[in-house]
Formats: sequence, structure tokens, C-alpha cells
Amino acid sequence: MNTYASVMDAVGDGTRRAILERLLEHPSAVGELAAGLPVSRPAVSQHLRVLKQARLVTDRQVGTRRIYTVDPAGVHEVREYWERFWSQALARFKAVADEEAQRRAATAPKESPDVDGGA
Amino acid sequence: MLMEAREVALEVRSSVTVGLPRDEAFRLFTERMGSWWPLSRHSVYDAEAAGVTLEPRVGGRLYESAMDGRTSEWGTVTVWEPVDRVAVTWHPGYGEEQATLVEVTFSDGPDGSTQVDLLHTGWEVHGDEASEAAATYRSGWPGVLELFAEAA
Repeated sequence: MNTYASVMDAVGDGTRRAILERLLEHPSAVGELAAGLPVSRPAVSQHLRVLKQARLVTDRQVGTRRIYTVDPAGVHEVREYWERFWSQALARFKAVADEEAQRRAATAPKESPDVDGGA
Repeated sequence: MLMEAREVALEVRSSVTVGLPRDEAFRLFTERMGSWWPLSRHSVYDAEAAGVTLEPRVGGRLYESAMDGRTSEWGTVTVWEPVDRVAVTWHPGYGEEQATLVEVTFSDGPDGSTQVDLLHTGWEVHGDEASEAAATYRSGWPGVLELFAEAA
């Protein structure tokens, strides 16, 4: 799962998390980010590329500066992936569990009348 | 123009109600996970996948087996409270350092049914303002998620 892998890798790194934190506080250019972090400017650029690829940040040109902002698109995709994943898995669990419940009901003697049977 | 995001977080919920009483639903879900897990759709070994096993204790392994006997660890049991709750770290196909967390709770539903609620959480990254908000929302965590959803 490509998006998942790229987002997991992107947020798995401490420096990239620090960059995201700063960008969540306010959009910034590479230089501003590098000034507040114990890593070089080229390293920050490299991290930004990874974050951009994972669609966690986006950038825009403002005059002569390139400003980076958080873009949650990648996270949304990952969330949607897991939502589908778990609803499929739980649907399968339900199918097997309900089948088992029905088998039990068929073999066990009924002790109470149907609830939805009315009076 | 996007509204500004304050929070980047993974949190997914999924629920289902099944016709089995809670103890049986719990056992089926955990100790007999291999009998219902959709291996054909979700496995590390794909066509060679043979089964999935959850060792029923804290520290127990959750792993997939291949037909040739190889195993691939999906996670580790972190909470084992039969018949109410089970939690595992979750990293199928990835190393432990990439683990997220899956917690499943079982509660009594009507007429001997059981409600199963699954919560998958992972990392979260937030700006200062959002961490204050998160502290406020601690009891109502979905509030933060909504905030995040608005940012899209």
C-alpha cells in the first residue's frame, strides 16, 4: 500500500515530525525551518521532499520565497484505507459469528419465543 | 484555499454487532482469529498465506503463517482482558518501529448480541494551539478529528 508506506515513513522520522509541528504552527520557508532546527538547510529540503511526496505538505511560491504548509491529503488517504480495511475485516468477522450463532440456534432447543413475534 | 490544519493524526473507528454472546464473540475474535480473518484479501504472504494466530496473553504475538512455515509478525498483544478488551500493536508488513495500535472492545448488545468496537490509532503531530485543544478535548477526542476533517 503505497500511500500508507510513504506516510508511515514520513511521520516515522523525528526531524520530519518536528518540521510538521512547526508547519502546523505557521507556514514557513526552508530557511526559517532550518534556523529553528539542528539540521542543515539541504537536510530540511530533503525532509520536505519526503513530506511532499507523502502529501503531508504542500508548497507555493510567494514572491521569491517558497512557502510550505501542512496538507493533510496523505493522512486522509491513509485513514480512508484503514476505514475500508477494518470495515471489510469486521464484516467478515460478523459473517462467521452470525453463522455460528445461527448454527447454535438451530441445534439448541428454543427456550423463549421470538422477540419480534408480537403478542 | 485550504483552511489551515492544526493536527495530523491517524485515528480510525469501526464497529459491528454480531449474534453471539460476548464471551463467544471475544473467543472467536481472538483465539480463533484464523477462522474469520479475510486472509485472501489482507495478508503479507498473499496466495501463500496459511493462517493468522493471536497468542492470548499480554506480550503474545499476533502473526501470519505461510504455507511453507514462515511467519510474519503483525503485532504484539498489549492488553488482554477477556471478555471485554484486547489491544495489539499493529505493523503487518512493517517493522515494530512503525507500529500503530489497534484496540477492540466487546460490550453486550440487545438479545444476547455483542457490539464490537475497533479503534485504530497511530501517530499524531500537532502544533502548539492544537495540543492545548487536544488537552481540552481529552475526553472527547473526536473533536480534534473533526477539526482535522475541516482542514481537508
